[in-house]
Amino acid sequence: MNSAARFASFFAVLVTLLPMAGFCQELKAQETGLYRDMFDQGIYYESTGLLHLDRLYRTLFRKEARSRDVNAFDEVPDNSFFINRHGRKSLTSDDLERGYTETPMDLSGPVSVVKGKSEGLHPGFFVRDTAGNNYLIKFDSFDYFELATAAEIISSRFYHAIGYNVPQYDVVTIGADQLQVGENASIIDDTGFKKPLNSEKLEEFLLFVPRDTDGNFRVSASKLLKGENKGFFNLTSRRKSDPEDAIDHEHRRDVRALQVFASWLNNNDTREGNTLDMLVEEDGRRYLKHYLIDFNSTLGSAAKGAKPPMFGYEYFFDGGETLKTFFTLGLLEKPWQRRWRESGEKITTSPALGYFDNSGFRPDKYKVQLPHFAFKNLTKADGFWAAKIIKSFSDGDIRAILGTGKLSSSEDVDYLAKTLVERRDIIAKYWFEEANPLDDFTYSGDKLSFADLSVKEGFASAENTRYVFDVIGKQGNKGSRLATVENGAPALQIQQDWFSQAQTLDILVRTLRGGKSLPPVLVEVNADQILGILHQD
Amino acid sequence: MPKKTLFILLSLTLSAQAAYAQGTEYDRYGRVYRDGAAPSSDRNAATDFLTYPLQILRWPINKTMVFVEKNHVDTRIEWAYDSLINRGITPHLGLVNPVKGHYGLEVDWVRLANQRNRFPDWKANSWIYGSKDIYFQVGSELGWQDVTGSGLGASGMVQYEKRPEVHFNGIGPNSSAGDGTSYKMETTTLGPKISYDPRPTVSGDVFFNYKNVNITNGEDGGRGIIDEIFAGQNIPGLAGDELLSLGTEWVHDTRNHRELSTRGGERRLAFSYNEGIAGSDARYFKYETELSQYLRLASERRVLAFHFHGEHNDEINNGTVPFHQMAQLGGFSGRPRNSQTLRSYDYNRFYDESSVLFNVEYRYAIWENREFRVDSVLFWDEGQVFGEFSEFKLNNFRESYGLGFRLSVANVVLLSLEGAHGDEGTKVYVKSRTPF
Repeated sequence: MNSAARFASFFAVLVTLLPMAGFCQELKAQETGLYRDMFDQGIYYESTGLLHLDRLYRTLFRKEARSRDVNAFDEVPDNSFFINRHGRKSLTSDDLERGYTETPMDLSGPVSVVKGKSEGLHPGFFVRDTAGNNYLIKFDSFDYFELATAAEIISSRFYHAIGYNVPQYDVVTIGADQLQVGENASIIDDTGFKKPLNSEKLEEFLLFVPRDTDGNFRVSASKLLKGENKGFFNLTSRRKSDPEDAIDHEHRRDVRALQVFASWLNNNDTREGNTLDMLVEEDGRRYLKHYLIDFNSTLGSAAKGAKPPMFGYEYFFDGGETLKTFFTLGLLEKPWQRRWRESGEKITTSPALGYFDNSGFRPDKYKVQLPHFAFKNLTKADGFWAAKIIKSFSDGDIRAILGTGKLSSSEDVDYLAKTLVERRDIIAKYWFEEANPLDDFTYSGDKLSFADLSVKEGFASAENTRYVFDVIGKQGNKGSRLATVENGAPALQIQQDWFSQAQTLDILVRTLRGGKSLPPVLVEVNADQILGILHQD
Repeated sequence: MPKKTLFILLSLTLSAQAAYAQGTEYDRYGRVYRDGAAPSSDRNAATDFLTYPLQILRWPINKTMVFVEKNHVDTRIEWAYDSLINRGITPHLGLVNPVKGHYGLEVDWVRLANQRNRFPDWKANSWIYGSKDIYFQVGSELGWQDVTGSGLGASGMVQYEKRPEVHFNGIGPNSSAGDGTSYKMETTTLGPKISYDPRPTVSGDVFFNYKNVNITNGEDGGRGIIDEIFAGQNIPGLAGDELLSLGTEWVHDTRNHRELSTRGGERRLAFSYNEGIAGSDARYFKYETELSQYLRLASERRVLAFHFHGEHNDEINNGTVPFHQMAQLGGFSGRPRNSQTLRSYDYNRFYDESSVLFNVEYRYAIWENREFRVDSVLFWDEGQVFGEFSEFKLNNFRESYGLGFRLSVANVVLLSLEGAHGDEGTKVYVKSRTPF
C-alpha cells in the first residue's frame, strides 16, 4: 500500500470513528479553564471555523442558521438549560430578590474554612457554615469594596429571572472572628503549591481583603450545588454522551442569546469556563442540568478591580480590530479609546461601581472576551427573543434586584439603575428595529391581533406604522394567495370564506415603518387556533 | 420577481415542513415543534470531517492548558523567578538573531548572603551571559554604591568575554559584503571605576581599564581568513592589543520606561583616552554620543522615537585605532552585539574610525488587553562609517527600512519580530527587546 492509500485509509477510519467516539462515552467530567478557553475560542475555533462546511456555506452565501431549540411559536420551551421565568410571567419583587435560594447561610456560629479557592482570579475560600452547608465565598479587591460582590449577586439574580440555572448567591457579612480554620484545611498560596492552612496564614490572607466600617468581611457566598459535577458545557457543540443534549449548542437560542444578556449585564467573561453541568436527580428523573456560574466580572467589575476600558469592545485576541488599527497606522480612534479619553483616562464613578456606563455602547458591537460561534450565529429572531425578555424587566424590577447587591450608597444604586434601564432600552430598541417586533399573538377565529412591541414600548409611533398581511390559503401542500391586506392597526380581520378555500392560512405580516420593511412574521392558523409563529431573519 | 410573490414562495416553503400543533390550546412555551418532533443536530460527520485531524492536535494542547492552570504551573514559575531575584540571583532569558537563546545570570552576593540590610552600600556582583556561537561573558564587580545616600560609588571590575565569530568585511563605507571574514575576539578587562548618581535621571562614572584583546581566526570556518582576504592592507590591531583606557561617561535619562518609552529621552556622552602597551601602537581618543527622544503623538498609543549615535576615534601622535575598537554599524544593537543598529545589514558590517547613525521609528499600539500590548513599528535607519570628518559624504549613507511587531507586558518587551530591507537584502529579527 503506498503512502497516499495509507493516508486515505487512516483518514477514512478517523472520519468514521471520531464522531462515534462521543456516543460511546459515559457522562465524564469535562475540564476547562481560562487558558484552554482562550486557546480553543481565541485560536483554534477562530482559525478552523471555516473548515466546517456548513459554516463555510453560510459565510459564503450569507445564510443565517435558525435556532433549532425553538418551538412552533418561536419560543424556547423549558429545558435543562433554560426555564422561561420573567419573560413568561412577571415575577414579583420578592421572587426577583429571592432568586434561586435553597437555605440562607447559617451565620449563628463559626464559619470554617475548608480550603482556598484555587481557580479564577478572585480570592476566596470554600467554607462550611454552622449548619454544615458548604459555600464558596469570594471577597472584593482591596481598593474596590462592594464592586465584585455586588456584581456577582445582582447579575446572578438577573440571569435567574431571565431563565438560566444559577447557584444560590448572596451577599453575606461575616464577623472578623467568625472565620476559623477547619480541620485539614489547605490553601494554594502565592507559591502555587498546596499548603496547610493555619490561623496565621488565614490572618495574613485576610490582611489583603477589605472590611466594612465595623471591621467585618463582606463576601459573595455561593452554595455548592447538589449533584455530580460534570464540568463545563461547551458553547459550540453538544455533549454526545447525554441523550437529552440533542442540539449543538451553537444552534440553541438560549445559548446564543447569552450574547445579548451579556451585553446588558456587561458580562464580558461569558465563556465555557463559567458554565457548569451537574448530574442531578429531580422528581425521580436523573439528568444533566446546565448552570451559569461566576458573575463577579459583570457590570463594572472585572478580576482584581474595575473593568479595563477595552472589555466589552474587543475579544482578547481580536484579529479584525488589530488589522484595522494596523492598516490605519493607529490613527483610527476606537470607540473604547474615545470613551476612555473622554473620561480623562480615569474612572469617575465610585469604586463600588467600577467602569460601567453607556457611553458608546452599541448592542450589535458588544463583544465578550472570547469569540464563540454560538454568539456569531445569533439571528435577528434570537436577538428579538432575548431583547423582549430584557424589556420585560420594569424599572421597579431592576431596582428590586439591585437591592440584593447591598450597596451601601444609594447614589451607587441610582447610578446602576439608571445605567441598566438605559441599556435595557438601547438593546430593546435595537433588536426591535432589526427584527419585526410583533408579539403576543391572539386569535379568535375571526381576528388575528398582536402587539407591536416597538409601538408598545414607545420606540415607534403607531401613526407611522402600517402592517401588510399576505394571506395564503393552504390545502395539503398546495397553497395560493387569497388576499393582501394593508392595515394601520395591529390586527387582521379573518374572512371566513378564506377557510372555504383552504384548510389553514399562512399569514405573512410585514411591518412598514420609516420607509423600511421589517422582516416578515409568518403566522399559521386554522379556523380555531394559531398553529405556528415564525419571525424571519 | 415581485416582493409579494417572494413572500408567498417563502411561506409555501416554510409551511411545507410544518406539522400542526395538536389540541385546542395555544401553548406558547409548549414542546410543540414545526416538524412534529423535538429537533436535533444532524450535522457533524458530514460537515466537520476536515477538522478531525486538527482535533487530534488540539487535544494535547487542551490537556496541557488545563494541567498548567489546574496545577498552577504558571504561578509556581513566577514564584520561583521572584524568589531567585529576592535572594540575589537574577536569571535572564532572551532571543538573539538568528533565533537563538540568550541566557544569563546575575548574582548579587550581598543579597545572596542575606547581608543587604546590614551592608546596603556594598556592591558584590557577578554575571555570566552567553549565546551559542555569538558570545560568552563572565565578570565580577566589587565595591560600594550610593555611599550613605550621596550617589557616590567606587568599584573594581574584572570581565572575560569571548566572541567566536565576529564578522569583518574590511574598513570604510565602501567595503564589500563579498569580502566576508570572521575573527575570534577574546577580551579581558579589569579596572577601577568611580561612579556618581546624584539623581535618578543622571549618572556618570570615571574609569580606568586595562584591556587585553586577543584576535584569532573565527570559529565558524565558513568565512575567509582576514590576513588572506585583506593581505597588503594595513589593518591595525590584527594581532590583538593590550590597551589602557581612561575615560568618563555621563547619562541623562528622562524616559518614562526603559523600553517602549512614550516621552522623555536619553542622552549619553562618553570620552576616553586609550593607549596601547606591550608592543601595541594604539593611541587614540574615543568620543561617543548617543541621543534618543520619544514624542507622544496625542496619545500613549502613538510614539515617534528618534535615535542618534555618533562616534569618532581620533589617532594621536601617529598612533592607530585597532579595527576591533572602531565604530561598527550593522544589525540590531545592544547585548550581545557591539555594533549599532542598521537593520538590513549583517552585524558588524561596516567598520571605520567614525560613524553617524540616525534611527526613526513610528510605534503604534495595534492591540491592547490589560497590560498586554502589541505595537507595530515602522522604522528607518540611516547611517554611515567614515575615517576623518573630511571623508564624510552624504552619498555614503546606507539605509534600512522595515516593519516590526512588539509584544509587551507592562511596557517590557517579551517578543519582537522585525523585518528590514536595504540594498544588501532583507533581514528578519526575532528579539526580546527594542533597539533603543
